[in-house]
Amino acid sequence: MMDSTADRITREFVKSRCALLGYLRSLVRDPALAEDLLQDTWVVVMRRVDDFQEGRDFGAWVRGIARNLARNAVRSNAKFVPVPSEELFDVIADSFEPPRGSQETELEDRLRRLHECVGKIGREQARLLSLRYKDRLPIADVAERVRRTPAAIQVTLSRIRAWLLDCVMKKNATVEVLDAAC
Amino acid sequence: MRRVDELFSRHMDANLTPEEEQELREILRDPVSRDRWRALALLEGGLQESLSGGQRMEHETVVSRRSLWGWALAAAASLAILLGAWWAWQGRSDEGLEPVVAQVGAVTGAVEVRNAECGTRNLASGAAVGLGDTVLTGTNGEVELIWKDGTRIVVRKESEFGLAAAESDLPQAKRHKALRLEKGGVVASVAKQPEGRPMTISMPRAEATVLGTRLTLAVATNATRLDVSEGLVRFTRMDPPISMEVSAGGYVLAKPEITFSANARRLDPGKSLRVIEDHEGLLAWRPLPDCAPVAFRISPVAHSGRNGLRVTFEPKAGDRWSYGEIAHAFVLKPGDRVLRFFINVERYDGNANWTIQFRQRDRNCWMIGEGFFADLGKGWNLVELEIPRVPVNVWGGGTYRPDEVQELLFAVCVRAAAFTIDDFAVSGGEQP
Repeated sequence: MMDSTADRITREFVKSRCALLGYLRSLVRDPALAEDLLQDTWVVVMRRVDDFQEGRDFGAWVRGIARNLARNAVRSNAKFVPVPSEELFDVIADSFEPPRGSQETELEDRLRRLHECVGKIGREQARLLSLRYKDRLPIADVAERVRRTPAAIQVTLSRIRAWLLDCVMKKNATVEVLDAAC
Repeated sequence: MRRVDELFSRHMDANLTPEEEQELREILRDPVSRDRWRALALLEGGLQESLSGGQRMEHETVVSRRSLWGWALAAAASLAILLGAWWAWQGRSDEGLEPVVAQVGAVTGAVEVRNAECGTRNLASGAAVGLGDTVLTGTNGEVELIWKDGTRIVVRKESEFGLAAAESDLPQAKRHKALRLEKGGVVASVAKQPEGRPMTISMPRAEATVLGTRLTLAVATNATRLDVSEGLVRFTRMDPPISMEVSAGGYVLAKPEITFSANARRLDPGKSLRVIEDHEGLLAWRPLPDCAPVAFRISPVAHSGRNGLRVTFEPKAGDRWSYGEIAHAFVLKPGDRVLRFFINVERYDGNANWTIQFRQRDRNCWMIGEGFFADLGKGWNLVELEIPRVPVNVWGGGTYRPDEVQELLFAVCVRAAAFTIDDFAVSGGEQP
């Protein structure tokens, strides 16, 4: 019995880790810190595997663990990385907590198409995504590398994100949408 | 663009003003904005996972970023392994840690130490740090740690440097110095270490094994750099695996898909190198486009043999092209894994950089790797690029087709540079 619960929890965790990583990123902002917290969350989840009650919202349970770890990390890392205020931290964390609608679950599933959507964007946009997410450069460094202003990069990345959201949700999103937006 | 999108972007980049933070708190009361925020956060997680290169989205084929995560995911397939690792991890907190390892020398700025139980305290000169402690330096912080054997390590600003609790079942006198540099940098002067017990400094993607020498180590988010002043250091990167011995005056700079080195001997030389161009025959490079402001010629300065290729790029105001590219015929074979070449830099301007691209039919260009001249050392540098399965498209769009690669491009971008390149080769092609 214990085995099947732990096994199922592990599979659930792996399946939802993309969403959990996004949750942690929006709480702590720093990508490396968020990845470390994702791993720490998994360790705690495994230690508390017996605490999980069948029928309970697995996502809410894991986010609760992640939230506590993230709060501690924000406090202990405040001197070293720019972290949000505790008040904002709580507002953001709370914004994830109402029961999730089917649209969000659908989005989680459709994120598997993200590679396909990233493959559709133009070379300049792909370059920006690569610098920002693969090389993890701060906006200012991305701007320097492509010889544009940080504000322009921020706006462009925001538009790329919006377009990618549209793309993963819509089957027929076209490249022209992004080209027009950027 | 939606306001919540803008605020999300500014929040993620830590650029929110106090007024915007207040506005964000207000906006997140609105259910529609909350939905949008969650969707953007989910996308952010997806982008980080799919583009950072460490992990894949399908859990059956996940590649580990760190060992802990690695066994976590392996556990999805094998619960027995999972529980074993879980207990092993739990046991770690019960280790009897030795209290003192090093004394704290000079301290500058904000420096803290975090113990194994995650408690933190400020670190002052004269204090002691022990196994399981992690030294954290702030933006202006720096601290010197001194061991009994005379080893001194300066932990530079914005670093996270741990005194790992390795081999804790052994008496302290029989342990080797097992240290961990999670981020930032250290400068180390290492006393001769006991036979069979070298000092190791592990990093997120690599490890340095030191017998007794002077060295500098730096870890950035996606890069590890080792500079050796004296002696010999063994440098090992886990994924993709590389093992080198770096001697005095040499260095290794390891990034996820590219490695630069000088005065370094590979301990795991690549198998069956296929030479692409050693410049011992006719000039086989061409400018691309034909009018690109780049000059090149066969030169007696060579890494091996009699000739290399000397390249100069001197952009001027009003140039039509802001870069200079040279192209060489190249067919990518199934199983080709690593492209390597040697480069000797004469001069460069500021942050001049170069890129290697594969060119397909119809002018589609795909980025294989890039580097900055400033990262390279004196003399000949070895550059090794992992050939990505799906490189980033830099020109022309379309679909990446390895079997349609026709040329290798060497591009110098925007700023002036003069250098010699030689001995282009590919390894790994023997196994499709």
